[in-house]
Amino acid sequence: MNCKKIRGLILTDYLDGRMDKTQKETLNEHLKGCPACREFEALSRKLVMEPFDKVPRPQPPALVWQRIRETLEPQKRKPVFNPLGEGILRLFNLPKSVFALSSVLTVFLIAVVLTRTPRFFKDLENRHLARTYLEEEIDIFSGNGLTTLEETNGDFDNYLL
Amino acid sequence: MPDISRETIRQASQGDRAAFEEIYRHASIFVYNVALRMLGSAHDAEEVSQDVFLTAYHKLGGYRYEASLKTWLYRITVNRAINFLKKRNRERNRTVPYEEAPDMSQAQSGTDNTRDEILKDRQEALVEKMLSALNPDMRSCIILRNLEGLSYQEIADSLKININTVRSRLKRAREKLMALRREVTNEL
Repeated sequence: MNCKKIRGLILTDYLDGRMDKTQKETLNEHLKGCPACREFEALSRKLVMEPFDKVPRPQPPALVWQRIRETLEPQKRKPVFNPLGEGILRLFNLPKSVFALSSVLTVFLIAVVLTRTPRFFKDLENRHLARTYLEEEIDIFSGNGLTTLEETNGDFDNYLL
Repeated sequence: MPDISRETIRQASQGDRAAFEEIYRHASIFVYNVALRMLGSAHDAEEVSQDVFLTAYHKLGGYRYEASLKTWLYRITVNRAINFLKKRNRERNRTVPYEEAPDMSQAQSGTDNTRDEILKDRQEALVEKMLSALNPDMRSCIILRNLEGLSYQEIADSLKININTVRSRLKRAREKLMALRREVTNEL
């Protein structure tokens, strides 16, 4: 086995205790006869392996678990001390179904009112116009000496504006 | 980490907080330490650890016992840490070369520290300096082997790579560390 291969084994399987008995004996035989590889083995153990021996393993701070727990748990609502605020909040504390239903009904009623309002005012305007029109017709009738519609003999058109 | 029972994992996957907390108590030290060594920052390690356990909580339902829970958590931790490193390096837009890394080989403590504490600080600084000289792939293998004591097969399972790739990365990482340390030692 050449020195390059021996040094490769030293840096891996040898220092990590992975060699079987036969492999270890072969390597040790080489080290006996090779001062350079012997020095390499000693240096690699000292410079590369020993610094990692018995390195402290600190515990994570308690804050880590606290943050994990807070992330996993739902947020709790903070109490409100304003009476008006409490009243309003109590309203919204109704069961969701009731609140949803009342919201839908409110929206529906608003929609109905808004859609019918123009027609309502239109009807109102029409009635006003009709009233004005009839009053004017009465004036015409009275101007012609007529007092009832029957006296027009059905010829309403000539008596209409 | 002693094995977590399948029943505990099943309960945790169904939202049992006490079962999940048991998993956390068993695994948090190695998750935190892997993150700490990958990132070199306690603050970043806390953030990544939190992310790892939240991910584990949501993915426990899909855990199929093909690997041990420990292997599965190591995998999530290394992946999250590497992603965090990439993001941090993009933001910083540079890596700190070995030579420019702050020289923490000397103790920066007051005279009240005991000899043991001084040696501990120096060792800690040296480990941090050595790991920062490695790319994330090599760094993760060194951490899992030298600090976490995983076997080559366990590292291969955790990182989802071939066992020969584990060997290759360890070899290259140690060659690099040898060269750097010999250079520093020769300068002294």
